[in-house]
Parts: sequence; C-alpha cells; structure tokens
Amino acid sequence: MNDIHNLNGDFIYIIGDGGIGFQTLNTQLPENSMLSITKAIDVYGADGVEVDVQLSKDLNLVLFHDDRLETSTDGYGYVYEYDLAELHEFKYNRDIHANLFIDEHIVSLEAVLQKFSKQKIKPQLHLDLRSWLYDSSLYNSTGFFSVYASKIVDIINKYQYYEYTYITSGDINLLKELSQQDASLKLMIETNQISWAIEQIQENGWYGILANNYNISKQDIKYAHSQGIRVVVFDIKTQPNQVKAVNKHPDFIITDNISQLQQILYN
Amino acid sequence: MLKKVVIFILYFLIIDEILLQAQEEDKIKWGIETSPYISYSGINFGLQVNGFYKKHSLGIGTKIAFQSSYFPYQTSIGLMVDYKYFIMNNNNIKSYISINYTNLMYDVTNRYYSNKNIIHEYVVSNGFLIKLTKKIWIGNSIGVGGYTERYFNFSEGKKENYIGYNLMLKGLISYEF
Repeated sequence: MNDIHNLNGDFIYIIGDGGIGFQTLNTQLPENSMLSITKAIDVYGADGVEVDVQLSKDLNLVLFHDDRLETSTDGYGYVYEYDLAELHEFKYNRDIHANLFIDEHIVSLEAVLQKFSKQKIKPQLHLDLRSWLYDSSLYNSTGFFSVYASKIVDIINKYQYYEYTYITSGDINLLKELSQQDASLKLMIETNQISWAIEQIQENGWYGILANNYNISKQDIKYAHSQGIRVVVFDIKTQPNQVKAVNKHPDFIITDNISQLQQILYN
Repeated sequence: MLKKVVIFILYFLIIDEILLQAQEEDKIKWGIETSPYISYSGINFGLQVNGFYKKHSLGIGTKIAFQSSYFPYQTSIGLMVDYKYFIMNNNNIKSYISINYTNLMYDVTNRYYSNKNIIHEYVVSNGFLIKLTKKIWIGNSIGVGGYTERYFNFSEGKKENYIGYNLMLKGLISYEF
C-alpha cells in the first residue's frame, strides 16, 4: 500500500498487541508472555510490541494485563500484593487446548529489556501503564505515581532504551510525573477526546496520542500531524479494520494480527 | 452380575471380530475425508484421499490454515499424511489409532525481509467414526505428539527452530466409494 502520509517518514510501524496478539484459539500464547513477545519480533518481524506494565510489591515492573491474577494465571489477587519472585512462579492458564503444553510465567519488564537491548535491530517497546493498580493502604495516587514513574525512568535509563520506548497512560497526572522526572521520555495520552489531548500534549511538550481505531478519524490524525503530534491506533485485528486504520495514515498501529497487516502494507 | 456382563461383552466383541475378519475383502477400497481440526498451527481444514486395506488405511492430502492472527494468510497451505489402524470395525462404528503427519508453509514479510516458514506436526491419535449413511461416516479424534516450527529469525537474521508438544482435536467426515 502506497501514499502513506505521516510523521514517520510516511511509514507505519506495526506493533504487536501484547506480543502476537491476545490469546484466542488461533493466537494460542498468553499476551505479555515472553514467548508471545519473542515470536512477535523474531518470527513475525513486528517493529515492536505493546505490553501492559504494573508494579509488584517489591517495586519491580511486571508485565500483566488484567486487574486480577486469577483471570489468566494460577495466582490469586493483585500484582501489587506479590514480590517479583512470587509472580515469576505464577503460570498462565492453559485454557486453550493447544496451549496445554505451554509453560509460560509472568515476566518482568527488565527481562524483556535485557533481550531487546542485545538485538541488532532494536524493537520498539510501547508501555501501557496500569495506573490504577496499586495498594491504596500504602499510597495515595500522588505517592504511587512518584514511585511508579521513578521505576520506569530508572529501567529505561539502565538499558538506554529511550529511543525505542513509548509510554502511554490515560492519567494526565502520571504523565506529568513522568515528564517531570525525565523530560526526554516519549509520552502519549490514551484518550478518545482528540482536541483535548492535542492541547495537553502541546502544553506539556509530549509525544503523541493513543486512540481506539473506532474513535479517531482520518481528519483527527491529519490535524494531530499538522501539530507535530504522533498517533497510535489500537483495537485492530480483522483485515477490514486494518485497511481502515491504514487509510487514516497513523504513525503506529497496534494489532492482534501482525502478518496480515504486513501483507496489507508490503504486498 | 457385573462380571457376567463384562464376560458377555468381551465374548460378543471377539465373535464380532472373528466374523469381520472372515468377511474382510482382500482388495483396496477408496474414500475421501475432510477434517477440520485445531492444533499448534491453529485452525485448519484438511482434505485427503484414503486407501483402505483390511484393517489399515493410508491417506494423503492437503490442508489450509484459516486466516487468523497466528497464521495470517488464506494461502497458507500444507501436506497431510495419515495412517489408521482400525481396532474395531463393524457395520456402524469404527474405532482406530492413527499416526498423522502434517506440515504448513506460511509467508512472513516485514520491512527488511520476506520469508517462508514451515511447521511440521506429528501426532498419534485415537478416534472413532459412526456410520451416517451407507457411504458416509462422521467422527472425531484426539491426538498428542509434537511440532517443529522452522522459521527465519528476523532479529538474528538466520533460520531457527521451535520444538514442542502438540495436541490435535479433529472432526472427520469420510466418504467411502
């Protein structure tokens, strides 16, 4: 597909949703698992992955999507109730039949960065921050955001992964905290209120917008681009939706079907 | 009482088997079989030609992988080879053990490379078929085995393998000429 016009040199980056996509009968690997992330990059050649980040009890960054552990693992409770070593022990459920033999555990963000930072072609890492998941008996939101942000800044700095890391949150205060701690981070607002988001980004000098494909138009993206703001679209799996998303000329597409999108873009 | 029932069932099966052996024709019969199934390679649909000889059947055919996020293209295509040994075979029901090999090729293209990857799957299954009409049988099978996925590693720029266990659930529709 030709004639893409965006801020990436007219090129759309393909980002795997939680790895190769959320777990289904066909996508049999658990999202945010190391195997799913590795396959997205190594086997399918995605430009990057989008992962969900939570903070453990001992203040390590952990990749996990759901609010509670029991919805997709053999653990029980919240991520913030356990130390990293305990979380490593939790296995993803084997509820999809061909997944019976897959032995995937919860992984840390550091494990992924260790792998990515050694690669010749560095994959992009889109971090979706689960800002509402913290122990309210220990923190108020301000206190938690301060700790959460410092851990994120530390780890990106440790692996010098600034160029390839994109950080998304729907919480303006968390983004402000991150921005305050490190102004060089690429910060993105997750929202459906495009005009408001553009104002916030311009005011704070942030990087872009993350929007659901159903809630953002081609005109919205064109306007964001005219203001120098990047746009990521998500919730895209089927071929018609991928074509619709491509035709809006975003800068990044987060998809559950990497190879199908590659076929649309490159064949 | 239970012992008597079990002895009666075993006696019945043995007699049935002896009679069947005697009736078996000493010539090859042909059939076709369609089989939607799910395994490591996702949701697939196979079509094969079977040759039957006494208690044995050998099938060869082709399969496609359904469009999905795991195997992306309708054009993903592969080979199926299937050997069945019928452990029970009467007028209305057949039970068998099978050894099944399939492969699947799929294309992957990104900004830098375009490659063809392949998945080999090898499974031992147990299944059954029930007679629907004079020539049509339906059934299913469940099998365990392994897979080898040979792929081009975009990060390393070289061919590598994933190897693991596999589980296959299959539905069958068989037509015998």
